Amino acid sequence: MKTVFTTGEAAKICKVSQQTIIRCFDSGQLKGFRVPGSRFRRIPRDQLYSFMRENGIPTDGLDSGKRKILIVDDDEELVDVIQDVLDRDGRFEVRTANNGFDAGMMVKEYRPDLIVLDVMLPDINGKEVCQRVRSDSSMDDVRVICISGMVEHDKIGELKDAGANDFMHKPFEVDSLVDRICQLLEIEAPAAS
Amino acid sequence: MTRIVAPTSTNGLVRQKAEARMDCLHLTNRGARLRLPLVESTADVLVDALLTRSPDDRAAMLAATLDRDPLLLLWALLWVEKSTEPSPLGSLNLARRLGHDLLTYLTVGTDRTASPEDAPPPTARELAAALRESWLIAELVSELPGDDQGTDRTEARICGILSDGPKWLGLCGIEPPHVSLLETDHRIAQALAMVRGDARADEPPMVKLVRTARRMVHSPLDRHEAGIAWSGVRRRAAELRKAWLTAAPGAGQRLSELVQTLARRNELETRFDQCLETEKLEAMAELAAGAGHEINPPLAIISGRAQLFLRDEHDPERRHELAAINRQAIRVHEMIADMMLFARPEPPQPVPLDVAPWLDELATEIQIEAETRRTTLTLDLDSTPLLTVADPIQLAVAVRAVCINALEALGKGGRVAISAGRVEPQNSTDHAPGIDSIANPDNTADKTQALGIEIVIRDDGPGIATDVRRHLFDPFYSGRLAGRGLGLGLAKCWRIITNHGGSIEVDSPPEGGAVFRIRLPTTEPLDQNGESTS
Repeated sequence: MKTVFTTGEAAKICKVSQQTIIRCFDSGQLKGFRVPGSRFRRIPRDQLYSFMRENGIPTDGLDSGKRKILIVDDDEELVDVIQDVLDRDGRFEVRTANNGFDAGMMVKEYRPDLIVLDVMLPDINGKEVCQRVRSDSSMDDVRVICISGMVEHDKIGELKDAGANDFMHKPFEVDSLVDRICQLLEIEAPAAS
Repeated sequence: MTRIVAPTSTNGLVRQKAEARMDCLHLTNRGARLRLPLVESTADVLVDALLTRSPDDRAAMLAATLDRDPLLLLWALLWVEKSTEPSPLGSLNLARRLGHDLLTYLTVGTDRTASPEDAPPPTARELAAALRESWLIAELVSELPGDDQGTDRTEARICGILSDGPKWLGLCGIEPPHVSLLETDHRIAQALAMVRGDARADEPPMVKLVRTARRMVHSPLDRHEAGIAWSGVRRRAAELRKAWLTAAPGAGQRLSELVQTLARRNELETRFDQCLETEKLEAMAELAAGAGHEINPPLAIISGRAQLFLRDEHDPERRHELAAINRQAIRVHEMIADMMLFARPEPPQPVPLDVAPWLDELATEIQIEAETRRTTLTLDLDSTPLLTVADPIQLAVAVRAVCINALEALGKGGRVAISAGRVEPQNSTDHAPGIDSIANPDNTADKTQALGIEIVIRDDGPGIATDVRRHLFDPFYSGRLAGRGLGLGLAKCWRIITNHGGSIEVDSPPEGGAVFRIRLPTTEPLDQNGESTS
């Protein structure tokens, strides 16, 4: 995902002319930086996002900057808990699925950055979901954290072989879950509240 | 008749050790052994008798066989004699010789081509005749130098008994043949004539033997020459006996089957306990897996919600309460996780470990918990490095479990003292009196270690009763203990330590409290097969 844009790229996203962008940059309305040792302008994603929001420009041309998380677990109340945790963090966009089939459809459609995947689903087991995600090379960047009520040490190895990036037991520390997600997505861990 | 043999007595036939020889039954009584050549039918009856539980039935079976099998009768007579005889050795040797030679003699008259079941066992009359003839051999034997003090005298006694054979038969309830019958019975007379007459080419081999024996008796050989001649006779008798045995291969077949069955049963009995233990653990592991799978998700919701509330809650009392909800949910989770850890532990990943700094770190961690309970925690280490090979994470789980057990037993206040040091080379008998040890089951500690290290955790809380101590590490013990041992922490600890080839013991010293001693080998721990895990 692009984290820095040129004025041309920004213009295209905002559906305005490049000149407009340059003017806003120079006037300070749109915050950014110059490439050191040159006069080229660069705009960080979150600054562009803020700019678009402030000026009422529809942001569908630009991702919100939030990472997309797909939660897959048949236990709806647990899904609610995890969703709450992620919503409160603010940096994540969350969708959910309750079974393997829905998960499969949503992965294709929603293209999440990370999947929180329960190992035991009513229709398919988590290991197979992992394998199918990994078998699609367009999803190589998708991270998978498996969660489970009881998985033994040897099964954890199998899941990692199938393509899971990490594993967590239920119950879990809410902070740990967020930390692990941040680690896998290579974003900063949240500051202690 | 059964009175003499007394099969109901506990040192009777059915308590003896039966050896799996096809041809003979070895029976042991008060350290002496009698060897009885068996005909198949008698062997079968003895098998049935061994398997019969009721002593009365046994007596009846044996009585019936004594009627039919004169050899068994003879043996029984000698056995009774021997069991009252102060020095059994002499009569034993004689009985053995008689058993062999008599049997050989008894088959002389039968047709070799007939199958063994067709040949009827000899009658009492024939037995009487055989006894008379055997007396000759017995007489010869008594002339020979014996190898122990009482032999001559004892054998002479036996000879006396045998020469009074008919009288003994009468005592057994078998009508003794009239002495004169021995002279008038056609077959007996014929046999005697053969023996007393001149040698003939076609005569049965045993006749030749008896003839030789008689000649020896009546000729003035000196003892040495008699000995040589007698060993020739015996050798020949042994050959004859061997020939008889190969001609009657079925004798004792069922008996050897029985012995094999009993041996297999013993093996199964010893393996059964091991299998039971394994199955219990497997069942527990399956239960833990199932329970965990069902119980952990709701716990995750309870704990997760409590944590989320905790984040937004500023009121200290509410925070405390929410933390309690979270903590208790985690506690339930740990009970099930402990069950699994006990039943199906991960294989340890041992590395060389210096216990001293590791224990220091662990103690610091436990110190935090101790402080909240106002319990004093001390650590005392030998200055020398304390080296072992262990999985540091698993070992920490084990030691932590013991410490938490101590802290929970104390409640508030009190003292927990952790110490560690070397241990002298130990053997399995080296336990201080009064310690109830739950030593590791495969004793790998004894096999591997020259020196061990020991971690001791002592507390001054409530002691542990003796019967409770035995079961302290046993998760299957259902007598729930008040004050100590709630949960599976100690069982989990035991499992981890024994997987490392170490041992854990607990004691309640007279001054009160409890002492846990964890011993670890200094060499590589062995796995269950006694193979090195490296």
